Amino acid sequence: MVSGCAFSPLGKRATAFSTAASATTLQVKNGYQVVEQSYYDVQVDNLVKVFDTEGFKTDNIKPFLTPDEMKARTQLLQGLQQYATLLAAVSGNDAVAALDKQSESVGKDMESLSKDSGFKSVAKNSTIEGGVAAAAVDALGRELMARKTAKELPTILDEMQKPVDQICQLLEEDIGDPQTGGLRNQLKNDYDQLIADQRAFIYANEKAMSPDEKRQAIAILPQLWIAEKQNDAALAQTQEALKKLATTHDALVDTKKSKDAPAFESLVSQLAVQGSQLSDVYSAATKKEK
Amino acid sequence: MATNPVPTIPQTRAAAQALENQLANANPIGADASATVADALEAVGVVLTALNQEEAAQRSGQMQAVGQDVTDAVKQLTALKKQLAQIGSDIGIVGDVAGGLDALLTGCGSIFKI
Repeated sequence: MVSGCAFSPLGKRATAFSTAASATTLQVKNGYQVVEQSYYDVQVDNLVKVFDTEGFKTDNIKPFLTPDEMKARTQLLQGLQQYATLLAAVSGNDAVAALDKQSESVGKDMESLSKDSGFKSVAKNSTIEGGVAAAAVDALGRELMARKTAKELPTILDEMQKPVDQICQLLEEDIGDPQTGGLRNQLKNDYDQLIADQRAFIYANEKAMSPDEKRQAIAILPQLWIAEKQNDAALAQTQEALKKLATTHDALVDTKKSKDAPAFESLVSQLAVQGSQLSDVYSAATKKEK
Repeated sequence: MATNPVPTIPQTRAAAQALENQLANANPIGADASATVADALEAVGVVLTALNQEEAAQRSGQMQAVGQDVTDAVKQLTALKKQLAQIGSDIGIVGDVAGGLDALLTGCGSIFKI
């Protein structure tokens, strides 16, 4: 019989971490959507510029992240999310059999992921050496495929401390910086292009515009500038949430033998707040785009 | 006689991003100047994407062919160089735009063999 630890302090903490971590990983996916949207807008913008001479070529509309690259990021997040679910499951009194199938499936995906070209696109923005990053993903995959019980919770936490840290770092560095690379750099350059094109459009067509049309076209310029700042801030906040997720997991590992864990409690509540704030930020960004 | 070292991808990328920043912060007035800035930004964007891909390809040891869009972007930047240098101070570009463009074009020439 599985020894229950739903009422053990560590089990309770693992469950709290699981809830906050799941919410955070869900929001990271929204960050990719924001960058995809800005990239798409630039392509539509370019289409408007060349339409009279080149017409509409479907080849000119491409996603920023190829399906392989998007799949790799989604799988990394699914791995983290499944790990959080696993922690909650092994912390409870119920047998984890129901979860096994799902964990096994995500675990298998993780193991093959480290060899995919899409994964290399995530690793390229990271300071973590490619082999180390692949090993972290493999380790998480293996953990998800193994049949675990409640009494193994401390061992699971120990084994996963480094891989979880490294995967969070990988995703955080993939988001990058407005100047040196990554998603934030792409977002900045996309918006710079959108603003320059909008300004060129106004000057090229102002003679054919009514005063009201010109006013509306000009009003788009500050809107683009504000959207750039807000979306960049959302990505920066997403990086912070990933950092916090790793720190909170580290704190959870450190509390294996403790009855009380005030530092962990504080971190996990901060992580939950960050996840909820991100949800608000991305909901607002999506509404604006509609 | 000392020869100039071959620019690396990070150096060329830094030159491209510096030029992108100069163009993004410019304030062109009028159809011609604003079109020049928009066209230059588009070309720098293509070069930056290509440099990122080339860096990733080098890390993974995979060779990749240079796309026509990169060749076109480099040609366009070469063509716009004189214009940008002329209007640079009028549109509020801070710094030496021609020098930055030269560094970018030299790097692209050596990295992409254009």
